[in-house]
Amino acid sequence: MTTVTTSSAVGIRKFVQKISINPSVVIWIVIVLLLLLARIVSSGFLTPTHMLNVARQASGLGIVTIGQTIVIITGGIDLSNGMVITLVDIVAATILRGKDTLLFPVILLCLAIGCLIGLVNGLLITKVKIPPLIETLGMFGILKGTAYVITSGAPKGDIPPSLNFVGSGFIGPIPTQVFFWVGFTILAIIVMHKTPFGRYIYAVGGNTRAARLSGVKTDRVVISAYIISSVLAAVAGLILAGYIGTGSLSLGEGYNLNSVAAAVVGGTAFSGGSGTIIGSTGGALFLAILISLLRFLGLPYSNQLMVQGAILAIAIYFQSRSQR
Amino acid sequence: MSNVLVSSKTKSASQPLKRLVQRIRPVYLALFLLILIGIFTQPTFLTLRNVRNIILSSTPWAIATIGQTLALLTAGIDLSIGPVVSLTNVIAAFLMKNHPNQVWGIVLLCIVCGTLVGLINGFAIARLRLNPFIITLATGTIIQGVTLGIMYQPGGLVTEGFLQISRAGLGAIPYALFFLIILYGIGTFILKRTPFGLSIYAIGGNETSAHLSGIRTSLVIVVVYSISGFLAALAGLFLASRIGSGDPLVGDPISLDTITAAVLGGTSLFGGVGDLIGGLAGAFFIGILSTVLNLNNVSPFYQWISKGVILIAALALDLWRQAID
Amino acid sequence: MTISLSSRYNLNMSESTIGPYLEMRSITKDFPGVRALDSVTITVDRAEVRALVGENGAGKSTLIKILSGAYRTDQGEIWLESNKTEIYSPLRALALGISTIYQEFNLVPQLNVAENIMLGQVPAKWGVINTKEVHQKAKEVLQQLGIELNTYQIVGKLTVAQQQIVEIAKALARNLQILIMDEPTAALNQVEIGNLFNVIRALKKRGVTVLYISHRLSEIFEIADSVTVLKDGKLVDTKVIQELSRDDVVRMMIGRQLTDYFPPKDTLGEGTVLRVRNLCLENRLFDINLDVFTGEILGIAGLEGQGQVELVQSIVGVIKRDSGDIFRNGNQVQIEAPLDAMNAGIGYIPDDRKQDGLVLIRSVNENITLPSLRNRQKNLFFIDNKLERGFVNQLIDKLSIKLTSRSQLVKGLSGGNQQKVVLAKWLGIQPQVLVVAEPTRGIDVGSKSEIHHLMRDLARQGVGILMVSSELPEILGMSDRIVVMSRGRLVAEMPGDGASEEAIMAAATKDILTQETTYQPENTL
Repeated sequence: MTTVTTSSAVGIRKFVQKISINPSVVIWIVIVLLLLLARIVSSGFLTPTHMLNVARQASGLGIVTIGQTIVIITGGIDLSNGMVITLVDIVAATILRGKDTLLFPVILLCLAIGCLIGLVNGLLITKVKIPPLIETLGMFGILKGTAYVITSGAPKGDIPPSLNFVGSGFIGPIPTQVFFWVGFTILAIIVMHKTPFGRYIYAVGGNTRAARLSGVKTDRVVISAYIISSVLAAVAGLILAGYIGTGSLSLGEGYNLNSVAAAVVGGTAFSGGSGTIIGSTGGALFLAILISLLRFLGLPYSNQLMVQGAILAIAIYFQSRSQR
Repeated sequence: MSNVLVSSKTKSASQPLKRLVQRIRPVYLALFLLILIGIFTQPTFLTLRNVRNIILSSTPWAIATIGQTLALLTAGIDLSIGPVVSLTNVIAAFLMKNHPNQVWGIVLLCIVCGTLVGLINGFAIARLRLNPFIITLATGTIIQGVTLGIMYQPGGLVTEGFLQISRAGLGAIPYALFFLIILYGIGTFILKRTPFGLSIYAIGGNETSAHLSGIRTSLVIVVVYSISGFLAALAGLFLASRIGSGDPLVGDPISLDTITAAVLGGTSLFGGVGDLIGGLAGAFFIGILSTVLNLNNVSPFYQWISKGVILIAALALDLWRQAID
Repeated sequence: MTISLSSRYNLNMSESTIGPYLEMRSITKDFPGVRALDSVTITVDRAEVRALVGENGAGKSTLIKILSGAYRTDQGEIWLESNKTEIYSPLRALALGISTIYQEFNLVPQLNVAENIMLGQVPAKWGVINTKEVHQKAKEVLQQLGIELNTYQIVGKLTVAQQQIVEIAKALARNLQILIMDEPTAALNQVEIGNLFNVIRALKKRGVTVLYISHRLSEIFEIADSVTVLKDGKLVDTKVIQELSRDDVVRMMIGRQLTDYFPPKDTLGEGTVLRVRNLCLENRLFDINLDVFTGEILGIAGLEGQGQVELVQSIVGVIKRDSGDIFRNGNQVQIEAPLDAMNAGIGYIPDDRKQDGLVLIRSVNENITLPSLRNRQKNLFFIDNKLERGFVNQLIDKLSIKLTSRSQLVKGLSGGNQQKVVLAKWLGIQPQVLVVAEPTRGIDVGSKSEIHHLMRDLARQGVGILMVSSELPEILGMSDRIVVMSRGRLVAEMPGDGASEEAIMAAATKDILTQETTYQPENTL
C-alpha cells in the first residue's frame, strides 16, 4: 500500500472532521445555536438570573440522565427512574409531614429504596434475562401502583424546610440544585474515565461475552449500573421533592422518556458500548433550555409539547447524520 | 466457531408440566387462569352483560395492538399510538359537537390524520434511518401537543348515531366482536400467507438480507407504520363512540399497553418473531384484568402493580421455555 | 481436475464464449491516505474456480467489494461477457448475477430454509403464497447443488455449514453467474469442507464462475483451477494451479521464501503447569486426562467438532463441566468461571476473536488492559494513565501490532493484528498457562508466522501452551507433543517430532470409521 503523505491542510481538515462527527460535541454546538436563537426571539431569556433558573430546572433531569446514560451504555434502558422520583417524593412527604426531625433517616430510607429498586431491576435483567425495556417497564407499573396505593390516590404531607432549601434554595447566586448536578456530573465523568469500573461498563456494553471472558464480572457491572440509575433517581426525587414542597403523584412524569432522549441526543447509542457523560449532560441541558424557552415565550403547554417533539426529531436527525 | 453451551445439564421439571408449558404460549395459560379467577371470585363474571362489557372495553386495545405488533415484527416500535388514539378521539368529539351532520366526513378526517402520522413515522424510519423509539416518541409528543391544543379538558360530544356504533350488535353480541374477528382474520392471513407478510418477518429478522433479496424494505416499513396509525385512529374513534365525548389523555396508557399485550402474546422485541393472535390474547388479558379487579373491588391502582408483575413474569416464563428448547 | 485454461474453450458449452467471461481492467481504488488497488487486471473464464490470495492489506477484499457493488472503482473498467458494465450498487451486482457470501451470513434466522432461499421471489397466486411450491422450488435448487436438506427447518437453528449452503442456494436461485466467497471454510470441519467443495464442483458444472478468497493454501490446491496473487494492491500474477507449488504461492504473496514456516522447537522445562484429571461433560467429553509441561506446546488435533473446543472452554470456565479436577503447579484450583481461570494464571485465546475475544467498538488500549486493569491502578480507585501507556506500548511493540494509535478502534485492524491484540491482552496478566483455540484462523501467512514465533517465545519463557488447531501443518509445526481427540476422548498421544499427518489422521478417524456410533459429530448435513 502506498501511503499518501498528509499535508498540514489535510491534517486540519481531519481535525475538524473528527470534532464534527463526534456526537458528544455536536449537542453542545446545537445548544449554542439554540441560545442564539433564544436571543433573537426574546431578549429577556438570556439574562443571568433566568439562565440560572434554567440550570436549576435542568438539574433534576440532568442527574437522572447520568444514570440513564450509564445504563444505556451497557446496552440496556431504564424506564422506571421517573417513578422512583415520584415514589421517593411520596415517601418523604408522607413520613416527614413537614418536619425536619426524621430527615436523615428518611433520606437514607429513600436512597435505600433506590438501591433496592435498582438491585431488583439488575437481578431480573441479568439472572432471569428479562429484556431491560420490558423489565423496567414492568417495574414502572409496579412503582406507580405502589405510589397510588400508599397515598390512596391523594397524597398527603409536606416536605420540611431543609429539604426545601436543597430544592429551591441558593448558594450565592447559584441554585443549590445546580451544585448537586454539577457535582454528580463531575463524579460520573471521573468514574467513567478514570476507574476500571467505567471501562468495564463500556466493555460490557460493547461485547458482553468478550468482557466476561476477559475476567470482567459482567452481571455485577450491569446490576451496578441499574443501582446507580435508581439511586440517582432517588437523589433527584429528594431534590425535586424539596422543590415542590409536597407529595405529588405526577412529579416524576416524563423523566424516563426525557432522560432517554437526553442521552440519545447527547450521543449515546442504543446498541451500547459508546456515549459520554458530557454528551448526555449536553442533551439534558438542551432539553431543559428548550422547554424553558417555550414556556418563556408564553406558549401553552400544548404548543410546548409540539415544539419539544419537533426539536427532538430534528436533533435525532442531525445526530444520525453525524454518526455516519 | 465456538459453540455456546449454556449448560448441558437439563433441569428436571415434571414432564407433563414442562410439555404443557412448552406447547402453549404463556399468554393463553395466563388468560385462562385469569378467566378462572374471574369466574370463581365473582358470580356475575359470566353474565352476558359483563362479557359484553369486557369485549367492548378491550376492543380499542385489541385494534391498536395489531399496529404495535406489526411495528415490533419489523424490529421497530411505535410510541405514537397512544397520542394518535387521543388525537382522533378528541377530533371526533370536538367536530361532531359542532357539525353533527358531517359524521362520516369527520371519521374520514380522523382516519386520514392517523394514517398520515404513521406515514411520517414510516418515512423517517425507513428513509431517514432514524431510531424508531426516538422518532415515534417525538411524533407522539407533537401529536399529544396538538391534541391538548384542540381540547385541554375532556369535552366535546358525539352524535347519537355515532354513540350507537359501539353499542350495536346482533342481539347481545356486539358488532365490535365480529369486527375484531374479521380484522384479525384478515391481518393474520396477510401476515402469514402473503409475500407482504413474509417481507415483514424478513425485515425484522435481517433487514439487509431482505433488502438484498429484492424486497422493497422502505415501502414495507412505511406501510406498516401507516397501518399502525390507521388502526390507532380507528381505536380512537371507537373510544369516542363508547365514551361519548373526547378526552385528550384517553390514549395515555395505550402505547405501553399495546407493547405489553404484544410481548405477552409472544412477539419479540427484536423483530422477526410473533403473530397477531397472541397480541389479541394479550389485549384481552389487559382488558379482563381491569374488569376482574374492578368486580372484586380492588383499588384500580393495584392494576398498575399487577400489570407490571405479569409482564415480567410472562417474559420470564417465555425465556424459560426457550431455554428448554 | 487437470484441465488447462486453453482446453476450457473446448468444453461442451452451448454458448461459445470467446474471450474471458469476467474482465476487471486496470482497477484502481484509493482510500484516504492509501492506494488499496493499483491498476489491477484480472480475467476469469466462465465456470472457472479462481482463488484470490494475498496477505492482509493486499487488496483482495477491496477487489471483491468492487465486484459486488459495495465500492466503486476510481479508475478502470469491468467487462462481463465482452460487455462493459457498471456495478454501482449491491443490488445491481445481484441483478448481474454476482452474489457474494461473506463470513457473516446474510440470512433471516427466524425464517425457514425455503423462505430464505426464495426470499424476494416467493411463488404466489393472486397475492397468496403457494407454500408447497416455495418448498418445492427450494428443494430443486438444493438438488442442483447435490444437497438434501429439510426445507422446513428454521435457519437460525442450522449449523454454520448448513447455513452456508442455504446462502449458496439462495444465490443460485437468482440467476447466479459469479459466486464470490470470502474465507468460506474458516468455520467448517473437514467433512463440511468436503461438502462445500462438492457444491462448488456442482456449481462449476452449471457454468457458475467462482471467486474464492482464502488463506488456506492446501484447500486452494484442492479446489481451485487457478490462482491470482495480490500484493500491496498490485497484481503479482495469475497462474493455473498445476503450474504452481505451495512455496511458489507463498513466495509470491510475501515476496520472500518462507523456508521455515514454523519456529524451531525447544526442550521442555521441569514440572507440569497444568494438569487435568477426569474431566467429563455430558455427551461431549469423556474422562479427559492431560498434562501440560512447563514451556511445552501441547497440540490437540483431530477432526473439527470432536470436543476440542468444549474441552478448552471447560478448562477455562467458559463452560460448566460436569466433573473433573484441574491442577496448577500441583495445587487444585476451582474453576467455575473465566475469572477463576484468569486468577489461576490461565489465559484463553478463543477461536472466535470477534465474538469472544474483543470488544470491537472500543479502542486497542481498552481491549488490551481489560483483564489487567486492577494492576494498572495507582491510587485505590483510579487508573494510572502513565503506567497504562507504558504497559500497552510495550506490548504493542513486542507483538509488532500495526496500528495508527492506541486509541484506534479494534474493529479497524486487520485479522492478524486483531489476534495480536487478543494475545497482548493475555500477556498483560503474565499467564503461566495459555489455552489457545485456532490461533491463526483467518489470518494471512505473514501474521501467522509472527504469531507462531510469539507462541514459541512464550513457551521458551516457561509458559505452557495448550493449543487446539484444525490446521494439521500448524499442529505438526508447532507442537512439542500432540494428543488426538476423537468423539470426546483422547485417543492418541505422540511426540511432536516425527509425527505425520497420516498418523494423526489415522488416530482421529479410527473410531469414526467403525460401524457403531454412540457419539454423533453434530454437523452432518
